[in-house]
Amino acid sequence: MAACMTFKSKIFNGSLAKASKTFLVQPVRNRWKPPDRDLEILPSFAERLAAWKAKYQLPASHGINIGLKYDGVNQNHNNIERIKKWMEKRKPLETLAHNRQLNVDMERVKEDWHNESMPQHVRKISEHYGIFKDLFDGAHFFPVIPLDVAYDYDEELVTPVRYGNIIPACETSAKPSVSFKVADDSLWTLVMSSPDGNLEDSSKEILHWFVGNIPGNDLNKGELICNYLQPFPPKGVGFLRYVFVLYKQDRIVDFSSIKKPENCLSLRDRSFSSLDFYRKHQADLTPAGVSFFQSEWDKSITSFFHHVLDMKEPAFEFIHPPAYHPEQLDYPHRLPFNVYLDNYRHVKDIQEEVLKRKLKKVDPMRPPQPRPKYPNLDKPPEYLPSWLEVREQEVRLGNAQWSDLYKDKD
Amino acid sequence: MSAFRVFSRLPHSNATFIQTPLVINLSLQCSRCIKTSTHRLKESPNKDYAVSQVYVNRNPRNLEKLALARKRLGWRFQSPRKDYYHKLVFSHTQKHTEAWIEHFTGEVVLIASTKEWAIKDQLYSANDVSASSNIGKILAQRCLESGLTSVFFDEAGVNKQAPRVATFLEQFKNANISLTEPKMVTPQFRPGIDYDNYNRYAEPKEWQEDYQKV
Repeated sequence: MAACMTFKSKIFNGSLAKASKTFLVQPVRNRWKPPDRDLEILPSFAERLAAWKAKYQLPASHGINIGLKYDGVNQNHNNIERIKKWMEKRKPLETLAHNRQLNVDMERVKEDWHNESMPQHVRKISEHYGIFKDLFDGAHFFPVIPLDVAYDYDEELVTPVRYGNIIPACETSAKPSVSFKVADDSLWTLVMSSPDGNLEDSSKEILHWFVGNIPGNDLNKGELICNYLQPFPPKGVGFLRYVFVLYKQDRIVDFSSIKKPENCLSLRDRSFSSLDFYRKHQADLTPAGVSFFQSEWDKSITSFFHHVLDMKEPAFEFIHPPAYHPEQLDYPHRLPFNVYLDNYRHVKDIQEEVLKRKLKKVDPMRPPQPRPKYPNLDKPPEYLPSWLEVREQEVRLGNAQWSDLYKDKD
Repeated sequence: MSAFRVFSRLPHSNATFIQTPLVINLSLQCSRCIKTSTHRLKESPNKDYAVSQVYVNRNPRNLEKLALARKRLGWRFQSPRKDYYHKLVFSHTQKHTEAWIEHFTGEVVLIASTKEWAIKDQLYSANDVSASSNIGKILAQRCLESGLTSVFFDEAGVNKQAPRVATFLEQFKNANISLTEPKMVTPQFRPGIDYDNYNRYAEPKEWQEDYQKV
C-alpha cells in the first residue's frame, strides 16, 4: 500500500497538494472510476417535457369551439327537489326492482339523454374517433341537434348511423333517410364525407353527399350540390369513417363554387376538405350535429369499382414495420453464433438459400409431396453437430425463414 | 396512422394464365388481377385517377379494430392488467352504479351512470341489482352504437358470481359484445435485415411517429 502511495504522489504531486485529500489507490487492474458527472448533465424533466411538446404539437385549432352555444346541463344528481320527485315517482316500481324484473325503456332513455348529456358524450366519442382532428383541424363543437340517419335494410328494418357503429358496405348503396328536429323557418346544410376515403391524397376527404339550403328538416326541398355516392372502402385497409355533419345556416348561401355536375362519379372532382369549406363559409355556417359510421370492404365493392366508378379495383396489404436490430457485436456474449449471425445476414442471401433448398426437392414432373405428419420422427441420416441438427429440425418443421419451403404459391 | 401497400399484381388474359417468373424474393405477394376491359376505361370518369401506392388510413381506431396496433404489454403477473385497447370498468358505491369504457391512454370514452337523470328516472334504486343490470344494458347499447364490439374486462379482484356483477356482465353477453379483446397480431419472425431498403439497424432509441417509412 505504501509503495503505491509513493508511486502516485510522484506523478500527481501538485494536484494532491491542491486537493489536500488522501487518495486510496487500490492495486487493482480494472479499477472502477467514478463517472465524470460534469460532462453528462442530463436535462431536467421540465426541459424534456418542453422538448417533447415542441416536437409533438396538437393540431393548430385544438381547443377552439366552433359550434352552437352549449352550456352543459345541470347534472346535479344531489338536487333535493328532483330527488323528492323521484322518490314519489319510483314507489310503484318497488316490486319489479325487488324481483329483478325492472327494465328501463331504452327509447325514453335515449330521448332524455338527447336533452341531457348527449352533446358531451358524442363530442367525447367523436374526439376518440379523430373526427374533429381530421375534419376541422382539432376545433370541436357540441352536437346539440341530434342527427338521425338511417339506411333502409328491408321494408321493416333500418340500419341506423350512430357514433361509429359498423355498417356493411353492401347495405349503404342507396341514400339514407335523414331527420332532425328543427324549426321550419331555419336553414341547414348536410355534408357527408369520408376523411379516409381519398385514394389519391390522404390528407383530403372524399365528398359523398352534399345538400345545402335545407328549409327545416325537409331534405327534398334543399339544393342538391353533390349527389349521393355510396361508401367504397378499398380491400385490405380495414375500417373507414363516413361522417355526416349538419351545419346551421344563418342565411341562404351560394354553393355554386362547389356544385358538382349531376351524377358526378369522378373521384378527383369529389376530393373535398371540410376545413377549407368551413373556413370559406364560417360567417354563415355553424356545425350543429354529427353522426358517423365505419365500413369495411366486402364483395359488393368490387362490382362498384368495375361498373360504377369504372376503374381497376385497388387492393392493399398492411406492412409491418421492420424489426429493430442493435449494432452487431464482434464478440456477442452467450448467444448461439449461428442464430446471431443469421439475424445480421441480408434477407436476400437467406431467401436464396431457402430457394436453392426448395429447388433441390421440387420435381416439375411430379405433384408436390405431402408433408409428413411428424416431420422430426427420424433422425438425420448421418451424424451432424448439434447446431446443424437443430437447424435440420427447424427446416423440417418449417419455422422462421423455412416456412417458404412449404408454400405452394407465392 | 397506418400505411398499406398496393399488392404487386400481374395482369392475365381471359383464358391463359401467364406463368409468373421465379422470383428470388419468396416473401413477395404476387397475385393476379381481374381483367378490366380497356375500351370502357377510355371513357371512364376516373381514367386518369392515380391511386396512391401507399394508402394511409387516418382512422385512429382502425388498427385497434384489426388488432394490429401495439398493446401495452405490462409485466407478466401485473394486476390490474395493461394489455388492452379498451377496458370495461364497473363500479358501484352506496349511492350510485356506474360503468365506463376506458381507453388505454386513460381517456374515458363512454359512460353510463345512475348520476344521469335520464337513467335514474326509471329506476327504483340507483345501487341495486336491477340498476346494475340496466346500466349494463345501456352501456352495451352505447358500445354497439360506437362500434366497440370487443372490450377487455379485468376479472382480477372481481367476484363474477356476485349478483350485481353477474347481471351487469350478462347484458354484455346478450348484446354480443366480447369481454376479451383479440390477440395482438405480430409478424412472423424471419431472421435477416433488408439492407437495400429502410431498416432499423442500430437506429437511435428514440420514439418515432412512423416506423413504416414506405
